[in-house]
Amino acid sequence: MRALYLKELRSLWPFLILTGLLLSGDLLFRPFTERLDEQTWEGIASYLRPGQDGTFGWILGILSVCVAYAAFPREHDERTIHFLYALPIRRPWIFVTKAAAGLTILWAGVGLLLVSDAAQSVWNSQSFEGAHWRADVALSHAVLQATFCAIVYAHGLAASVLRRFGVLPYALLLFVAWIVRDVLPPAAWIDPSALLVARYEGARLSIAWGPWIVHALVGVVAALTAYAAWMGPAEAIGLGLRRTQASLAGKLALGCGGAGLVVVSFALVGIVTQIGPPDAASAEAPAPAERPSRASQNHRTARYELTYPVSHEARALALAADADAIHAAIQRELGAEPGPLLAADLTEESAEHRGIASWTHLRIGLAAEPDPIRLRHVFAHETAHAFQHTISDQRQSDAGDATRFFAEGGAEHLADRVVPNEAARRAARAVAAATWARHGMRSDDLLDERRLRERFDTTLVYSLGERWVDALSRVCGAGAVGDALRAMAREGAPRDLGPRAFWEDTLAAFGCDLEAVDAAFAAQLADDALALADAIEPLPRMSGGVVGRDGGVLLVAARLDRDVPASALFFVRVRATVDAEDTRTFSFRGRLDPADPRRVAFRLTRAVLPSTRFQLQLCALVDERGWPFCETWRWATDR
Amino acid sequence: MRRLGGLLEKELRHHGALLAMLLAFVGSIDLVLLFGASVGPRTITMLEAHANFTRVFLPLVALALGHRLVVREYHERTQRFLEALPVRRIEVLAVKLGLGLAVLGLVAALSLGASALAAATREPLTLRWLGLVALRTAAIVTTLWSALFAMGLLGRWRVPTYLAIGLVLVFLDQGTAFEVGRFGPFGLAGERLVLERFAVPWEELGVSAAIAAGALALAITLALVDEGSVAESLAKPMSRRERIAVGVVLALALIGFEVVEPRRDKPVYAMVHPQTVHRPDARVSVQHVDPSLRQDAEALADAIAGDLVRAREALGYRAPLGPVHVASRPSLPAHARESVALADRADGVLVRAPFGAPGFDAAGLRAWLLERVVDHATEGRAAFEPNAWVRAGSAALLVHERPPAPGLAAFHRRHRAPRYEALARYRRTEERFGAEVARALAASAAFAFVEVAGSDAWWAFAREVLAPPPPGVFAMLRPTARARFEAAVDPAAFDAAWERALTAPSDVPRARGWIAIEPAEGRLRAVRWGVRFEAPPPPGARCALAHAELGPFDEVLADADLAREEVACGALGEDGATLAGGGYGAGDRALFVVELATGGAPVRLLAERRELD
Repeated sequence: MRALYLKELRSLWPFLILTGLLLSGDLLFRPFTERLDEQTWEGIASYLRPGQDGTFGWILGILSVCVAYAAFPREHDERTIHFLYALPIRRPWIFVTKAAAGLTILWAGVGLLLVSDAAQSVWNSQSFEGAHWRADVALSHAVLQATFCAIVYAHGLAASVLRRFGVLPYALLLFVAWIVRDVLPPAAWIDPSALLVARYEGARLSIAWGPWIVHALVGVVAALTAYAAWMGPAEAIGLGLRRTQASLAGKLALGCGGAGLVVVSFALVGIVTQIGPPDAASAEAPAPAERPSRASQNHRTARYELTYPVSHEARALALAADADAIHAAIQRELGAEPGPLLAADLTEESAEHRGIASWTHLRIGLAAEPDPIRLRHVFAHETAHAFQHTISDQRQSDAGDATRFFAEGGAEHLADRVVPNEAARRAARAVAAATWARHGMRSDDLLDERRLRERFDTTLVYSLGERWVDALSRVCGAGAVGDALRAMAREGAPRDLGPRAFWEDTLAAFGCDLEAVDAAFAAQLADDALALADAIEPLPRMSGGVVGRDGGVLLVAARLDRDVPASALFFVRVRATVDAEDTRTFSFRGRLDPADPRRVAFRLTRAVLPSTRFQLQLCALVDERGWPFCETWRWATDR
Repeated sequence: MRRLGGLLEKELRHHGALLAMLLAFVGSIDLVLLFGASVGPRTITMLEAHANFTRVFLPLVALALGHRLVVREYHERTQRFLEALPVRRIEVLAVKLGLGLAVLGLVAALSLGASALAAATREPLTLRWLGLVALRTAAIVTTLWSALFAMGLLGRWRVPTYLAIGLVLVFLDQGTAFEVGRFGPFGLAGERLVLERFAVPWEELGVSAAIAAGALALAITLALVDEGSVAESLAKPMSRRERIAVGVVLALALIGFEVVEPRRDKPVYAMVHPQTVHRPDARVSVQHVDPSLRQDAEALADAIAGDLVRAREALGYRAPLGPVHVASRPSLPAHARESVALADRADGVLVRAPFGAPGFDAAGLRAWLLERVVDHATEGRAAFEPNAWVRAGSAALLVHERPPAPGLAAFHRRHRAPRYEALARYRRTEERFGAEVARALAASAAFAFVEVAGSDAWWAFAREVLAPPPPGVFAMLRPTARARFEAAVDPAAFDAAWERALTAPSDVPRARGWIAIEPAEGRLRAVRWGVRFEAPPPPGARCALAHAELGPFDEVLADADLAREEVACGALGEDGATLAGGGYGAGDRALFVVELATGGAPVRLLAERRELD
């Protein structure tokens, strides 16, 4: 057996080189390109960073699959496996020895990574950024990585039975996992790459044992399946399959059986996602409205193709009567061509949003918005988005993190001008000014969506964004919003700039200066804080967090620093990591304690929490015409 | 025609089961995608299920087909049986090409059909819209299959070729103006695949057709040249040596990519607002926006220009310093300044300050700005903690005639005896006492050094410490600031001079900050804080608690990273105040700072990093 193990290691040593180069290749260049005494351990080892996405998991996973594919397929295809069968070694031990050799290579790679990262990070002796390396954290990560490799390796062995086609079912499963993750964030752990996303409690690594145990058990099943396929009745199964395939009935049975299996999986996913968090997405949504009918009707205006639910025909036709005027007003504000006909689908039902737009398509929840002014405002907002997409030739959405505040703030700004609603605007500006002052925000927090998401309420892109666009219009002229969109689409515009550089370049293209806009924006917010003091005063500060458990419910409490109107709504938002998208954030509504009017209690269903370590944000909606005021995101633990 | 029919029959017999299973599998995937689109919170049209299928699964199906129809045939050398038949090679090629195209087309059509059926139940579909989606899909299918068919004939070199093409595309996308995402078939499969309802993408269609034609020409060449021997020899398994070579080349290419970091040129930052004072020779711009600040801006620009010249001479930099950009930010408090990180080195340094405001300290801004400029000139090495005090001291010597803010330096002396350690661990001093106190302490040390060893000795010392660093590990081989310091000045004489300089009275009120972490509901902890003054606080004094949640690894926290709750010091009673926003619990790590401001920049009475029990 030892000889077999060594023979396997010999055949796998190129993978050791590859693994070493991919995981620890930075050792070859980092000392010559970076000053190691300024580098931190987590700067060198990306997998240490809290909430870092699963990229490292993907690299390790692909490596593990590659090593697993080197174990059996070729041996079988070239029939050299028969030489091994001829040895005086029992088949289980052949399987174990080959698997052990593969895992040795992977674990050696992980060990090398541990050593190379430590070796590069010990040179920094600065007060705070030096001496980050800690043996307990390093070893914990290494053990998790080694376990992860073993799990994926087992799946790789099972997939390799079907050779390259083995990748397809796994691709499907991963795709299903992504869908489930989007629909039901607490199920994100199904995606194995999420296992290696680091979470800490204080300075200690926090390990979610449940997902690890489930994945390990599934890995064991995969390993047993691989054993059965490769070492056991594989040839008999193969022969049987070939015989079955020879007949038409057999072909159909196999095809339908395989498809049936996938359909059953699909149905299971459906059931799981329908279970969902019961009180999650609707906590911040408007009160349930009358549901629209399934039957829909089409209506055409000069600028729109509208589809609306028959049940809300009067509301739809009233909106349609104003639609072209709204379109013309936005077109005029932006100094744009009319553009293509817009498809406006008014049948939308969503707890997530009132409307969405992409390219020339709008989807708006007509039934959910009984207020005609607000409905027109949403319609104008989404129409503005359609203009943004076409004028900027979609460069606005290409720039992603740099432009979200401008997209939403610009659409709000235009909608405010076309469909004025002074009370709503005042409420939104009060929240913007209060948040800006209380959280000591800087304009760079708004310009960069990632920075904003890291600490603040992302709905600030609407209220603060509107204020920024307003400042842009005042500093650079009334047509500046349209000019900025055209500048994004101009020939030769540089791409992939950071948020700040993107806006410097975009504004400079039409003679506008970002610093001047930012200065006007900050000054305006300072003025708002004074002018809207009466609207800001009722917005409470909230401190709080997890206070305990009640069976399957996690208890969260918030303490208010002032009395609030009885109509105020409170909710706590929950997300898995600092970079979780809005669609993976969900909310629970809280109630004022009758015995203590400055205490708000929240009951969070533990089963739907994204993980044992998660982030929460406390919010209060005092004026329903505006946006909620939210504290910054904080980490919390389910215990 | 009969020959072609026979070949087709053979292919169907050979691969029929697999194709049937593939179709069933694809149907299932489509169901999953349709489900995903129907429950997706941001789905704009059900046709997005087809878009996702086209972008992710169609290439996978094409890869599988190519493997089955082309790669395997050559790898197992069964194409020799076909060559023995009375058919021409081109006919074999045409049948495989046609069959693959038909299957892939069928798969794509099924996906589009299913999505269109689902969409028709809830959206107004038009024939033109569907036709455009179908046209784009057909072009994608043709290009994809042609390319993969040709790649299949590359045999053992197809995977390295895929990787090479991938790397080249990434390089072109990141390093040049070329946009892969909008190019030919990639553009067709982009966001507008199912959203464009009117415009025909002629350009992308043309490029895709050219790619397909090129790929077909390559396939025909490989399959037919030298009676097919080229394709046959390429199909042989890769030797171990070849595999290792490919792996190593790939890994080196990835490392090279990491090192080279291809980046497109970007415009250099410039202030374009008309109300900006430019000093092009000195590379200084000061933007004031408000015309009434013109004179302040001009005076500031001239002073900074002079500072840059003196700094360059004193520190011996070959290259001119800067460029430096100063923007007016009237909304900031008079003592506040903000530094903005610009994208590239060539952009220089950008800072914001409320110049022209009552109480604004222009000299303080210039010294602080010089620190940023020296950081820029040394690629950040001047900000390396052991060097940071030398940077601050040099800036003070260049701008001030005598030690600035002696009261703040004396405030430090009130709490700590002057030791080199306070300078060497500059970040810790900054965090504990505040940035302005640390700066004043560094300045007092620099002036004491000059008093003991003379100005020339200081600048010789500073030139060594603040020299632009050699690359990478070689910067670490140079002597440390402390070693140079001990060689440049008599430590005992320096200590005595520094001690004398710090005997001046401090104008900071005598007060002690305190923080109490108290159990609250459940695992929550209440943070109470306050300030105890020895005498009543001066009128207008402001007290603040600054705080931040800490991650698992310590790092320097800038002022902007801290949340701050500020009150009039007079309003703070004996019991202090309780933190109103946020919330900490047992096990959390946090930084708590109690600050006191009496008109100027705040000083820190207390700063603690704590893990809460």
